Amino acid sequence: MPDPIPNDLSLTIAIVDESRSRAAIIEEGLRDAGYSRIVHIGEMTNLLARLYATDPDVVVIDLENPSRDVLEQLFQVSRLVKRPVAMFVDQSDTGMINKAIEAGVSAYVVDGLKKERVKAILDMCVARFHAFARLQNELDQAKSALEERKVVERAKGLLMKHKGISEEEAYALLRKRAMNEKKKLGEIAQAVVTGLEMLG
Amino acid sequence: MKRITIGFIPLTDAAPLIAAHERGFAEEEGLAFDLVREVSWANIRDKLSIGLFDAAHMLTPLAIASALGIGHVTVPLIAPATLALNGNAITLSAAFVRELGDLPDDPVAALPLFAAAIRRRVEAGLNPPVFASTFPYSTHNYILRAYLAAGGIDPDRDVQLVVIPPPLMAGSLEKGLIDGFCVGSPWNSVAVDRGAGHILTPSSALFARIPEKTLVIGDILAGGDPDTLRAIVAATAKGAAWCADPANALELAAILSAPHYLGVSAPLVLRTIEGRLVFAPGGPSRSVPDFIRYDVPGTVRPDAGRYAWLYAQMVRWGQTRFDPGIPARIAALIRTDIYDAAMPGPLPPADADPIGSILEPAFDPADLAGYLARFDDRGLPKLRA
Repeated sequence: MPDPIPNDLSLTIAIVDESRSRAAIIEEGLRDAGYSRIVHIGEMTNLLARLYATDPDVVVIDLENPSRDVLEQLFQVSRLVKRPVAMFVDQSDTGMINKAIEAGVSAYVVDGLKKERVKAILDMCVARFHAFARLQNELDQAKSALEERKVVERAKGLLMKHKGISEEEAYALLRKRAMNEKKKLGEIAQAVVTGLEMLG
Repeated sequence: MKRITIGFIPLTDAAPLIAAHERGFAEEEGLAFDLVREVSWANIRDKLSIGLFDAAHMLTPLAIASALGIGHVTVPLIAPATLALNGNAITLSAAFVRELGDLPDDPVAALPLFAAAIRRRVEAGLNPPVFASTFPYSTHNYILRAYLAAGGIDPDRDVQLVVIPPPLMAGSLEKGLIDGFCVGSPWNSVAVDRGAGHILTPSSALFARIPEKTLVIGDILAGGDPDTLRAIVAATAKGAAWCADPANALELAAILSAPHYLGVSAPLVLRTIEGRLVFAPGGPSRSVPDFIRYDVPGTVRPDAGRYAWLYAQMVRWGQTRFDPGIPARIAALIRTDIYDAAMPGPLPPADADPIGSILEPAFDPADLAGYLARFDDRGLPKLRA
């Protein structure tokens, strides 16, 4: 029998992740690397049955998922478990597992599968988890910038109505107050909105 | 002030660590407890293993399995303080309870009804009932199995046992995905309040003294400064003693109910701390003696005999093969020298039977082989010759 090739593209990989967008980013990475048998499981009820139905060689799960403990059953030898599974940890390779845990991902592999055959998969997932975290961060920042703009607009409108001033004057007033109180423009605008909305 | 990062799962038995932080016991010991809420026991184990956590709130059986390398690679750790005894219950879905008929309060009297309902399902050719626990290496798994086996039910053949995260338990009962579960506080009471389940029995009615959760310390700190180890254990023990005082129950419930700890209503948490359980939706509350214990030293000083019983369950249920060298390794795991240095004082009176089960004869930790010989290879009690 020939030696198994290091990156076995025929492996079936299950991605267990309730975040559709993150799962999509990981799946895309794995497909780009040539893996074609990829199943995304986003629904956590009956997770074990869903996993057995796909009979994966590798299971990738995010660490925010409470259902990670469900996967721990896979280690148990029982009639429920078709193929016993090991976690992708090895005392000789702490660097790899540290990187994965810090990135927020864990992987389970079918017992006996050579580590070298799945290392590329885990490397890819770690990189994609980091990429997703960066995107999420940028998205959150964009969202909060948008929220701030909305509340500033609303505060300007209320000031114009209540004080009979122009838009420029309302904006200058907010800026001045924010500078004096060493607060963010959004925070001052929010206080104005809360206060003036109560007045009607 | 030395910072100690501690992982915990939102459960009533994390209380000693939370109290140590909130009530200043950690600070008194020159420590700052940085409590990090986690979503899975696997995360707790792995983050402790790689040193992201210095210490953690852990299922006692998982602590034993991790230290001994059972079912997983070995995670070097010590378990120098028990956080709570008991606190669990077996809860059945409203639908399955109807199949049992009128339930007596006594769990031994209820057992034949429970077993008969399971057999009726199987005999009718229906899918076997599904019961959930929280982790393969959990007291919940062993309590459920021991109760089923005492009723003549084979937990691996007559029913299906699954793992479900505690916050999803009540919902899984409602959806009919499971027929019952064994879980810690406050999740049984959450299911009752949602009308999804009936408590069949608190675990304390079956077993008097099971060490439910333990404080584990990872090998970086465990191999380091003994003063730090003593300080962590002292802060935890003082937190536990504060939790054990009934005068503090109201304040403890308020602290635990906060969204960053349990995120469950304070009156419900209070019921679990005081052991006043509502068994059926809309029903009266009943006082359960020793429902959850935090007392010092009886609970907190680790008891080798209780740990040995948990190890014996792993052997009984086929998770590992019996190793007669284990008692020595348990002594190295619980390190009572740390507790005794941290909390000098009289030792708790030794219990004649460390576990005190009404389902089994007295447990003798010195005779593990004799205990295990009582069960057949499926873990069921052997019929007396």
